[in-house]
Amino acid sequence: MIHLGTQVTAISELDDIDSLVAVYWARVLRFVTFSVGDPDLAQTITQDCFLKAYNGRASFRGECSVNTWLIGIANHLICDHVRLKKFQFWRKARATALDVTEFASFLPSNESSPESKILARERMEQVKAAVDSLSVNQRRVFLLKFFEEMNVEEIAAMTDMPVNTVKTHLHRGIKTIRATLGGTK
Amino acid sequence: MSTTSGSAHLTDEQFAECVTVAPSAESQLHLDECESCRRELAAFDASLSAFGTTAMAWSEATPKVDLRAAAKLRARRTMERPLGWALATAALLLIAVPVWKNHHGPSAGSESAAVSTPDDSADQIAQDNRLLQSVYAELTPQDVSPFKEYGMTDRATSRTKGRMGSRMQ
Ligand SMILES: [Zn+2]
Repeated sequence: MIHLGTQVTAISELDDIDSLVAVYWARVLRFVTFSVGDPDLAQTITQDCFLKAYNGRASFRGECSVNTWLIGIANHLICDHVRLKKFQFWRKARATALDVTEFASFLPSNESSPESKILARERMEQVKAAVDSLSVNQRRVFLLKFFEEMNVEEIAAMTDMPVNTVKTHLHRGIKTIRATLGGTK
Repeated sequence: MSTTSGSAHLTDEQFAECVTVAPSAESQLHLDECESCRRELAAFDASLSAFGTTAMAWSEATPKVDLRAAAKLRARRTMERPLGWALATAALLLIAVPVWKNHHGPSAGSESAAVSTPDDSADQIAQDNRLLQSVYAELTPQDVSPFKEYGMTDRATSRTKGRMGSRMQ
């Protein structure tokens, strides 16, 4: 069911490329960067994503949020890179992995003592390293769940993967992070 | 670490189920009695949430691309590329003509012969084009999209649109 009001708002939103970037760029860039693990490549893919979205805005029918639509396009661009093995090519040419310490420095500081701040940063570095250790497909699924807060069925629809494959990827990711964080045992 | 119920802690499978969907009846029973597993679940959620927030803060601190300018630049690149190729071809000819002359000596009509050297085969042209393309890519590394570079932009767009269209029903 398409709500006409939502559709009209979204379409006029899509008409303004500057506000499209202002509102959605960071979120799409986050998904792409942490999926591909290379900030430079992520910039290129995100740029392609927004240009495609803007050029193809007439095809947006308001059946999902603009954010989901953009993430879907970004997801397909990442897939194209994986399928065409462009990663290896790009990595060889310019490997610019996001530095884990630099990343952890962006952790919002809610901690009271310097010690707990250091601990929290270390935990962030561990989570980042564990996410990096996953395959691109595992990571994509994992980030759609934990960044985009999609459920298993939504992820399956967006990625063209069977629900069970999505679950397997997710479980693998969760198991890795759980082990990194220490677990109960 | 033991639990109050004496049973084993949540397995990876059960733990993942709790995180992705909801605890099964069995897992819930364990969670009700095991503070350790409850704490682990809460810590996992908190860590993942902090990971998302940190990643967002990083992403927001990254300078945004001026898409309007990028789109214009791409359009200009596409227009300029034939000119670039023409210049590169002219440069190649400038090199090729003296080399050919040196090999074959001055002769009548050598100018016109130089345009179609014996090496001017389709294979050779393709090889030269590949070389020029890689040189071109090397010279402008900062904004050559892999899609543009491989001439895939349009196909990728229509594919994406088609797939998205059918998926978002
Ligand atoms: Zn337990």
